[in-house]
Amino acid sequence: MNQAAVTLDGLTRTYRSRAGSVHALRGVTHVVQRGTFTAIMGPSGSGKSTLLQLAAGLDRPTSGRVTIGDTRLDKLNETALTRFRRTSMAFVFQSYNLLDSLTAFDNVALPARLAGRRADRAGVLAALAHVGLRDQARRRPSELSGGQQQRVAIARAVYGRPDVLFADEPTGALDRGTGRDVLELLRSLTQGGQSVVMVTHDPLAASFADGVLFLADGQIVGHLARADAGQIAAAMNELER
Amino acid sequence: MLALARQTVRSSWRGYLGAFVALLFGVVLIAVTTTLIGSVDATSNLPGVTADQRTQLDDLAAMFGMMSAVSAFMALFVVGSTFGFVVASRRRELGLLRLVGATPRQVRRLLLGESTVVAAAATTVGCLLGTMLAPAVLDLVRTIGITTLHLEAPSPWIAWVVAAPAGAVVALLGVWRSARRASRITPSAALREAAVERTRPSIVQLAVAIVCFGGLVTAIVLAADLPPLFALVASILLPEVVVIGLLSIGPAVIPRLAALLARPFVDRDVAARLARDEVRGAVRTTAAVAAPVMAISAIAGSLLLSLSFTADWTTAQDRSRLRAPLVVEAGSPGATAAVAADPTVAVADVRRQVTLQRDEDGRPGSPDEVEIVDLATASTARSLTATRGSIDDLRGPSVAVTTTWVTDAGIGLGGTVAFWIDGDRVPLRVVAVVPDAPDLYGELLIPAGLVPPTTDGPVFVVPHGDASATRDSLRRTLAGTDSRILDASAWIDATAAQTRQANNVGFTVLLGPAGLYAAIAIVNATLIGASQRRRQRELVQLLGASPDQVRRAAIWQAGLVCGTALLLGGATTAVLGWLVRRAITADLAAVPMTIPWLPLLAIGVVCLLLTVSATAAGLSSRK
Ligand SMILES: Nc1ncnc2c1ncn2[C@@H]1O[C@H](COP(=O)(O)OP(=O)(O)O)[C@@H](O)[C@H]1O
Ligand SMILES: [Mg+2]
Repeated sequence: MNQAAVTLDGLTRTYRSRAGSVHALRGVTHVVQRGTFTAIMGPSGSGKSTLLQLAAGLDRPTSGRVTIGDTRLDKLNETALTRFRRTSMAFVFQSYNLLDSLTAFDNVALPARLAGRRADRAGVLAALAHVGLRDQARRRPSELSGGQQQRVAIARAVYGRPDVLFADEPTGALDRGTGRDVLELLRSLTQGGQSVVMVTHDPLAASFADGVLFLADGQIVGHLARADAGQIAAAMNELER
Repeated sequence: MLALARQTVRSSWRGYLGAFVALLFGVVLIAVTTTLIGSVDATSNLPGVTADQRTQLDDLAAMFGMMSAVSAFMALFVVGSTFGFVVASRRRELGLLRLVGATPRQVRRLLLGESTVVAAAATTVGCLLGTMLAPAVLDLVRTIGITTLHLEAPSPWIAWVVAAPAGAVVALLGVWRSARRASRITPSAALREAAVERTRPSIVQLAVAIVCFGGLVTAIVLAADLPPLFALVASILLPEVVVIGLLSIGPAVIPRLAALLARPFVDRDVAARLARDEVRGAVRTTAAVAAPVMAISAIAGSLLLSLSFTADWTTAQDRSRLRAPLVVEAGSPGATAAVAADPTVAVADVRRQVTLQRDEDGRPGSPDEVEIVDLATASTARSLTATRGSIDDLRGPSVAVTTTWVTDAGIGLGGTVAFWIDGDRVPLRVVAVVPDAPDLYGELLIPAGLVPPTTDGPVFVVPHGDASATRDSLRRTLAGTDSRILDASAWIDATAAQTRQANNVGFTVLLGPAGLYAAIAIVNATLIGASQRRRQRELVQLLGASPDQVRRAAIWQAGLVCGTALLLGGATTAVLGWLVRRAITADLAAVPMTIPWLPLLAIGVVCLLLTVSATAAGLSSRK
């Protein structure tokens, strides 16, 4: 069995706009192993979000290619890509992860329903229980705190059991304690063989990961394995100098 | 999917409430106008309808037909744009749906599902309301004196069959169009919070715009060759075409124009600057709020202007043909005879008419007003001369016709027009074509002796000597007969005033329902737009804008959008007015020009007031 969960091969992405071209990524190659937690760090504007979006097939690279498990994303059309994303990937962002109109329960069950499957009640509730929100199942996002909303988004990933979870600054809007809970949850997913790729600018958050990738100016400029927050912060300082 | 649709409708209810309102009233409008047409039809099928009543009914049918067409256009236009707008404003939510695995098809189905629920509800309620309102509207038609006839209510299914499908189909078409675009939203759109909306028109939209403006340009090129009455018809139909064209490229045009309009103010008031940026950023909201204002101002403005210009034209024609210095509106047949008998009168030319039925496939058909002229007097008093053929040939079974009639009927010099006189079919040969002079003589003129006249009109008087002597003499002769003696130019002025009065009634009937609907649509669109800007407004307030600044910015925004729409509507009015004017001056030089400034301005002011007060109401209701 292929041990690579996400393979990035020579990715570049150039945004063209009236103001000129922006080379957000200039050739990124990396492999994320199955069952690992990878953090991507870098100064603001270094291309972290762009990288995440390309890896998740939310955007197409200008050149290079992305492979998730054994599936090359460039071979899929929009609908096939959507179906693939439904079963293989999950997302957690800084905010706005949930449909305002749906309850926590319905938000968790949504991908399965979109796939035409019945949501199994016990499974959804178990996923919500895993993130500690068993009792909030019937609440809507407006009735949940920021941290609770993030946890519902993680419960969505727990329930769907996708191969990879992508997270862009998932703790950016949370206080330390709540952020810590969310990070613990993300790490817990890897024990079941799922991979987590998380963008962050917080060394403490990155210290929960198995490995940290440093990005600057659209290129990978460094890598740390099993580092603590102090080491990561030092490496970041080095980068930003 | 249906369960999801139900839940999302619940959360975007503000937008859908707006769509519901637009469709509901649109269906009511179509149902009511269809009922009016149906009632004319039902009444004319009653036994014992006289020829005179039938003429009235025919006129009513034509008027109601035009009214329905304009109303239907307004309703369908607004419904389509509102539904499309509601969908387009849910970008972020739809992006999120795509992110968690909804395929483009599923997004489309969801949107269509939601709108079907809303459209079904609105259509049903609208039809019920329309049916309930129908008797009241029939009463109203009599109360404001559009007709003296008692109109029969038609069976209600006519309205249901027309209004329900028309409303529902257009609503869903509007949704389908937006849904197709919405389903192509990339999932990453969900991540970008204030995504800048696309303003470049699609190929289809561009094509629509090109076709619409192509039609306008063609009409402009042809303007000088159009008979004035055709130009009038064009000025009723073309505004709709122009409005469709403008709206299909609206997101590209309207925000830019609004920003231009704001330019003089942005440096003076930060609220104006905020409003300008918001108008430019939220292009869809801007275009949707502008749509009803633009439609009604273009349609009503063009109609007002061309009706006024056409009245100028008929008045100028009357003036150029009337030779008699005095006109007597006789109070009785005896008075008419007395005028002719007055020794100071050289020529007393009486306007006489009769209603004859045209021959249609060997049977008496629709009635026509026919002028009976005495050549000897009419050629002196009304300068009756032929532009083609010879007026002297108007003897025996013959007819003279006006230029407009020739274009209208497609029968020219040497052709035949058959009428039914006393149970016989009488073919008349067209021996002369005469210039139009609508208040001096009608479109069809026959010689005296063919049929006795039924109605006497005014007497055109040419005196032997001095007109004032004749006037004094006539005043004595006609004392106590309830007759009026007028100078020619005073009579023409009075006639012109009557024409304008009738035009005003016609205008009110034609555009009344559509105008009422437009008012509802303007308020509705403004409120939807306001509810969608809430998040933006909260953010601005967070950044330190005072409540007063936020309020001013909202009012500025309303004013800018409405002003831009009025500018476009006004430009349409000006172009179409010019078109009618050009057709008129090509026909007759030196026609005075009356621009109805007051009603035109009133349209603009009412639109502005509606938008601004709806905005103010939207602001205060949210505290
Ligand atoms: N949609 C876009 N259009 C144009 N430029 C973009 C777009 N998205 C990102 N960029 C530019 O690409 C660069 C990288 O952006 P991003 O990946 O968001 O950085 P990060 O997440 O590391 O802060 C930045 O310079 C940003 O301005
Ligand atoms: Mg970022």
